[in-house]
Amino acid sequence: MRVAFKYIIIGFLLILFDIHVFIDILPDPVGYLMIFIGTRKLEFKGSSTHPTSVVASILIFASLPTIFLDAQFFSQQVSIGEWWGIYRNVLSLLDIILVYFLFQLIKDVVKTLNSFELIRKTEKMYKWYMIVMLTVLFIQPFLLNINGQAAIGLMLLVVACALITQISFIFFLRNIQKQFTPSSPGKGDKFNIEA
Amino acid sequence: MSVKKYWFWIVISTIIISWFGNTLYFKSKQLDAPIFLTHYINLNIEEEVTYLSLYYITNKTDFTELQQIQMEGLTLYPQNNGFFFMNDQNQQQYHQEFTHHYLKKATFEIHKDQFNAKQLKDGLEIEKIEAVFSQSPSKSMPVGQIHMNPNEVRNDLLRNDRSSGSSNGDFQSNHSASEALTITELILPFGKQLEKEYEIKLTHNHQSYFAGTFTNTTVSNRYPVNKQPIQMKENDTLLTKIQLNTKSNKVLNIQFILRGQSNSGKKFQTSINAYLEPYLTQSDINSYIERASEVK
Repeated sequence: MRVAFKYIIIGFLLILFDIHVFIDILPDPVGYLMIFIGTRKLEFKGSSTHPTSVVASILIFASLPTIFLDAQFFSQQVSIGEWWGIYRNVLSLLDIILVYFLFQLIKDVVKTLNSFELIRKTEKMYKWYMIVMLTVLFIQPFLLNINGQAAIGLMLLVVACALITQISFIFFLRNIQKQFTPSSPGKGDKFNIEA
Repeated sequence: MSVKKYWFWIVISTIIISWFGNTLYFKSKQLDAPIFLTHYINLNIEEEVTYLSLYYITNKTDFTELQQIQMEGLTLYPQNNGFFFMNDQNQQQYHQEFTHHYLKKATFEIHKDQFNAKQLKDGLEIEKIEAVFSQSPSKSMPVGQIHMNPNEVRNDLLRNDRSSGSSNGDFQSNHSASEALTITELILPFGKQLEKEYEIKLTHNHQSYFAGTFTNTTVSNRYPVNKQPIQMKENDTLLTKIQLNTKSNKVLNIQFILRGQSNSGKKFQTSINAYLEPYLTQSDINSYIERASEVK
């Protein structure tokens, strides 16, 4: 179980941080691959494939171009309307869908821990993440059509909110991971032992 | 659970609709081609270099720059903005920023030897130029009216002692007569078309002469100078005040010309320049765009 979360946490870190030295040396597809592997490990034994891993596997391939394209390239495109603009937006939609499904999975996992406190925390994180990130996605296209100064201010606010939320999401995952001791495979025997 | 699922997909659909809506709105605001502001430029061909600045509206996201213009056989390239080392591809130089557009400025240096003999003698009058913008073919575009006048023969009959101007569009100058003379004519730039964009006031011996209708001077105060010559004695001073309309949506770089002759019969001509950088509002930009689309 710890290993599963480790994969997922590293995955989200790779996606969150981009360091471009000719190419992205923290590539997003590898991040999605890690999330995919992690999710597979979380999945209930014998149950059918969870949508999380389906979305993650789509993203592994869909995010390939981001290795070579940096933020500067995207900022040169009309953020939507141009093909690469559409691409980037579809990617961010898929990304939030991935997190949405992942939360369903995590909620199930947390239930097995029988901790009311943790269930409450998960619910809180879930609500916060969804409200902030969906609001950010909703506001983004309006930045195109509002005046320069206001747009820059709003964009900084949006970026800051998104970043804080994503980082606290990673801390949240780490927190859940800590609930599982390295030796124990988790409290329910319905999970994969190898995890 | 199903209610929450429902909620999530509704929000996702709303986001997609918001993208479409904003994209369509954004697209509807894009220009097919840049638009030049309406310029009223009236300047003298200088002894060495004549400077000409043109302003145009482009889409913010196009990275369009004016590359070259042609007019009356002159081929001109805009001056580099000077930021050689700061020439970041993502950084556009602009005069003013609007929601979807930039107002950009291009300045041209025209050396005297670029003009042909006829132009030097008679001047040029330009209403359209062939403009080449980044990645697009040359296109004939209206620019307003640019008059370049032959370099005037200076003489010191009516001496310019002092001139000052400000970005608020007010200009003042003092001229003094080096001998007894009469100003018989005040030539206003571009006649009636521009009347509302300026006001000029000549003061001599506590007597004022007005032209232009920009400020709220009452009509009875107006005194067309060309109907009543201004008689100046030696060392008399003439104070000129010009106020340009700072809210004008036109580019004003205009010239007022005083003509007359001395009592001993020598003719003279003196020009007084007034120049204002345009500062437009979003609604000025909108009306330029509207007008440009009507022409098509």
